[in-house]
Amino acid sequence: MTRYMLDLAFSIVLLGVSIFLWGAAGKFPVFGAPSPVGADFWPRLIAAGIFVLSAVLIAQSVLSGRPARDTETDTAPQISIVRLVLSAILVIGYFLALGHIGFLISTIVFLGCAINLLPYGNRMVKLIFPIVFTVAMIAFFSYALSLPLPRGTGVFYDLNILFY
Amino acid sequence: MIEAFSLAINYMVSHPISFVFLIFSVVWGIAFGSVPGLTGIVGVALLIPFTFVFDPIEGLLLLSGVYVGSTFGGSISAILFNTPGSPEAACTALEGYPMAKRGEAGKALGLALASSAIGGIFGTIVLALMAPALARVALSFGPAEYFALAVLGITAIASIGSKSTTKGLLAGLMGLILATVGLDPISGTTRFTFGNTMLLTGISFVPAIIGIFALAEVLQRFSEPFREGHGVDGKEKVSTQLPTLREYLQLKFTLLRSSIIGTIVGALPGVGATTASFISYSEAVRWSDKSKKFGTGVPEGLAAPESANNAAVGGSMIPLLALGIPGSATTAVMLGGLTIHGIVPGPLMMVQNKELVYSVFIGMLLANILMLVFGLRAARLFAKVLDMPYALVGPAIVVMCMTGVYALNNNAADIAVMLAFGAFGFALRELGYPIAPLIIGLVLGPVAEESLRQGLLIVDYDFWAMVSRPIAGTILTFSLLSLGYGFYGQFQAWRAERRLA
Repeated sequence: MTRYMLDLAFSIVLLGVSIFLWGAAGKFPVFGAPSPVGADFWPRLIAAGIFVLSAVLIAQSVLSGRPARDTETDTAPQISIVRLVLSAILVIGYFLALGHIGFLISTIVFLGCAINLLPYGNRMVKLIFPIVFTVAMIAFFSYALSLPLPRGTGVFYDLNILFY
Repeated sequence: MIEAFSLAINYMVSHPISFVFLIFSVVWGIAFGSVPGLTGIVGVALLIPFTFVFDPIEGLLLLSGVYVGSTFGGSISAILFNTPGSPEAACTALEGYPMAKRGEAGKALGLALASSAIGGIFGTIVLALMAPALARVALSFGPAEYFALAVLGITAIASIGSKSTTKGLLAGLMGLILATVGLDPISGTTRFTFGNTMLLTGISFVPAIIGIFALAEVLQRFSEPFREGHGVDGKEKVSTQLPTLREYLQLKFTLLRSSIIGTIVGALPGVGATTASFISYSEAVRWSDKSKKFGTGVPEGLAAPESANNAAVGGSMIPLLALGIPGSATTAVMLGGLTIHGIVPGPLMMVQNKELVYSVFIGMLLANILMLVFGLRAARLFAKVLDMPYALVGPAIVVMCMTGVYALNNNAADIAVMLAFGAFGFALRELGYPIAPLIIGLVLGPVAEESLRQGLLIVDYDFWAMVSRPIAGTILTFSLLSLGYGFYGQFQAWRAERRLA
């Protein structure tokens, strides 16, 4: 899909979202006597603004046959989709792992994997960095500041509580 | 006043430990400000229990120093890694990071530091000289004026700062609609929560900006064709030099204007340094002859929010000390610190606790000067990270963001918000939507909505009666002019493109 099509598709999505928001705002529960400036007043005002502006963008794109002039599209670099998807999966996986296996193991594993996403030659640093950085973070947050870090659940909780 | 100042100086000279506390607190503040998610509020809150064992003056000096230091500290990570350490520094990243990317990290850090110190000193002097008078002016601002201020903040940045006014305004509206999620501030009705209890408190601002700036940046860097090298593109050794006198002089009007904006906006109860920095950035865009280049690393765009957010520190102390009303979230926490010592801030405090109040003024002035010394050192230390390969720095930023955001409320939902905003920010960048209006919409949304609805209720829904108040009307006229200018520029550009085609 070209950037032009993406731009147009996003404007259409925004138009749809504004209609949805308008409808959803109309369903807000009302307590007491209805007021002209009730809970739905401001969201509907904004939804109307989004509708008008996204319609303008669509019209602009269709009329000119190319995307509306913007700040970054002309110079935007090519995207490596594979690396983007892999890094997104890693970040989401790290988030999910934090809750279940806690900060210690999930951070070491995340760093160990993420470092390999970009080419970097020094194997020793690749090996040491995840451990040293994780320990430093635990020392700073848990020991120096007494701030909480995720400990995970079950056996991982019992393990993590030994360290922080 | 002179008597009060001499009393305060006497106290501080006879208690040299005050200076040690000041140094410690500034360093502590810079450290907290520079770590994403921790923020100055956390830094102040963590120290409050310790102030219990000190004299009230020493305790308050400690808290004020943290406040001053943390406001600058946020800009270090904002400039070097596009990761605002604190909400006040979100605007700094917009110009600071592009400067760092083109090898001017040292200049950007030096400029941020000097601007912070100038703004901070300006705000403190105004606080010392005009606190009671300014507090009265701040209280005369009604809903109409707050609404007009919020509208100006959004329209100026959307219409002048972006090449496409339509996209800029759309981004601003997206920020405004996101700010409506949660409980309605007036009626308490749930809005756009879709049955999710985690959304009842609304979208947390700190996770949102960390996601939009830091996570989106890491995703973008990881998805770019790889070029092995440094954290930012500059290959030269990063130094933290202050700008030359000539560069300062070029920014004199920006610094003065932003310091005034910062002090006034900071003095408005409940608004704070983040809003001050965004409004001053918008104004810098509006007044600059390089307005179309904003977002690419324009020094004015860096100096404006930095001087404003530190000036707002002094400004936000005005309603706290003169009226007992906190001007920001951090001063609200400081209010708690004062009450621990049995001190009730308010008009009487300026008379009954002269020594304490004026010691705080002197302490804040010194803290701004100390910030120059320690800020330079901290920035140099952080700048060394730029020599590390991004294969290490990128994942480390993700871990720091996740940890900082989690530590904020001990809540994994905040991390989810950060991730969602990271993806959203990445998509917006790729589609060419400016980020600044979105963030400013998110910040000013609650202010704009509450003040508009309250204002309309006061004047019996007569919109014209509300906006025709002198101050509100003037500010709104500026907003309309900004919009007109933006759309005219867009139309001209479109016509030129058609002619070329």
